[in-house]
Amino acid sequence: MSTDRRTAVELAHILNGESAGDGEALALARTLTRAADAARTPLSDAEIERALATARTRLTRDRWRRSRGQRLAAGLALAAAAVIAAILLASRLTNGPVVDVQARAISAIGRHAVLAVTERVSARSAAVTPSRRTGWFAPGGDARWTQTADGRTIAETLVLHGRVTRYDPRSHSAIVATSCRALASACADAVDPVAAYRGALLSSPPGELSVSRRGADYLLTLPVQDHPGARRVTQVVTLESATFLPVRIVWQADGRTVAAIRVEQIAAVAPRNVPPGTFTLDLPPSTHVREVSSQGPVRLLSTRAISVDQARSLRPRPLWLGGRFAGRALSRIELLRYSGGRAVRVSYGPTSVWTYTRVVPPALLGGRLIPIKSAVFGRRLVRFYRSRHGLLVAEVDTTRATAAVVAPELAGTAIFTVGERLRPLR
Amino acid sequence: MPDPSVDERAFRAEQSDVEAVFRAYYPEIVRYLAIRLGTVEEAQDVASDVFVAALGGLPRLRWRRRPVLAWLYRVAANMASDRLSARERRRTGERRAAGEAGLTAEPPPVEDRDAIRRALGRLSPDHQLVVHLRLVEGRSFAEVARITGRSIGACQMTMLRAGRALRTALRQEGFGVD
Repeated sequence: MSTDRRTAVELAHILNGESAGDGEALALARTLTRAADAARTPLSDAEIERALATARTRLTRDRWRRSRGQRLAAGLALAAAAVIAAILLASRLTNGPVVDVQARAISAIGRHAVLAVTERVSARSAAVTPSRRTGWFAPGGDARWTQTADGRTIAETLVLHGRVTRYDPRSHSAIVATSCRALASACADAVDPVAAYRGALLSSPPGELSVSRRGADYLLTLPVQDHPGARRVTQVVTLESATFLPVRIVWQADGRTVAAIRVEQIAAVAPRNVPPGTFTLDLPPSTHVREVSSQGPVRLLSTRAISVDQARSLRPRPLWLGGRFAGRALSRIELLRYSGGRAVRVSYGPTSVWTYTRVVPPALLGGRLIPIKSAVFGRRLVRFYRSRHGLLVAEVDTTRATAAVVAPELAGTAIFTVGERLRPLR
Repeated sequence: MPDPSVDERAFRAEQSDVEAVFRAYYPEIVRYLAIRLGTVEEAQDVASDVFVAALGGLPRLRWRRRPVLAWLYRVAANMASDRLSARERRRTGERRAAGEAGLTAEPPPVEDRDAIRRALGRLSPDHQLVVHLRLVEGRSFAEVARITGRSIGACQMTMLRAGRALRTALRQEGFGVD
């Protein structure tokens, strides 16, 4: 027996626990075992079930594509039939495409199913780090998702019975809101873009959705920001014609694409098949937790203009965008006192930066069932939602406060880049 | 008609319940692909492709004296190779572009776990598979042999070579290995 063969057998005995070993075999066993430990990534039942549901959906889609290919190859006779079918389809589109597409899309996504979704978020702005959001979204509003960028977790979020927990692993901090009303976005970030799309489908009267075709796919156009005088932001949802499921959601400002979400995986899962423990989020020990609560309607008690120096002395420090932003100088800093808390508003013309802790300024409140999108700028997660007044709001959590930017006149991608510019006023 | 072997009956049973196969083997295929590809995220992407192929193809799979798992690993290995080839082509393009722009990449920060994963990623596919099956999944050498279609002795030799290659890779990652 060669030396290598003897060493291999000895190594096998050590790895099998049949020998303590020594020399090279023992050293190799230690190295290999250490490496195996690093590679032992556990997967939860929820992840497995999500992947299974997605695989089922993809299989259905793939089979449909294959059968389409076979049909196309069937020859002239079938081609003629296809032409006739196309003429008939065109006729149906002329007479009432929305009803048909809407019904099929609702059927595909399910009225009461829990959505298991994986999305890739990208943007034209170079400042945006592409990120991936993977989660479960129940029709009643419960949601659990993880956002990652560059393979690292950026945020973990749970919404359960209206109570919201957001965990930021980088700062090892969490925000716990006792109700959706305690958060500006009113749990809107629990409404995934796909789930919001489903909400729009279910709530829109037949014929009111804008539907067009791109090749074999359908395009649905829905508003994101429609405040009079504000820049118009819309989302265009691409539905795959095979499955009538969304595959891409594009945000557009004045017709220009500012961000895009690719729906990488989507599956509608019957509630009974959702694995136990899916809607849970365990915070690691010693997490810094900031709790915010809703104490009924918030009333403005006073507004006072303050100087930059006075703003600097406030704790937590307000956030701002520097001395100038978007060609406008800092015009005003105000301290607003509300029943239940206070906020600071830093203004650059119509653009304002709000900093608040326990109470949400009413101007920032969002409506329910409003699509929200989150994107990573540098290492910061920024959430975008639409306020009740129709304005697009960019919201950022810090360890001690929440900052929100409202910039109705910003064109193009500017609103999407405020996240990286926000900094404490020092 | 001869009575089918225990292995064949197990194969038929798995073939008739593809969802059970998915639940049983998805995690280990993801872990294997994570070794091949470097990140769990990408591994889940490719594993999804593997199991879509499996869900579609398993009912038509013929018994070839190998367990279903062996077929899954072969599909996973092929898909991982395709992904790595595509990545290499993309990186070659990026390196060329970076060179033209006068940019140089900074080395990534050394974190133990990441560095070990990178070192595992440098092993040959054969080495990775044997290390994964025996040490990450805890299968016996006999099972490793059945899945890989080799003898037990060959698997033990592969493990020895994998260990040596791993030590070299770890040194290159800046690890002091004894």
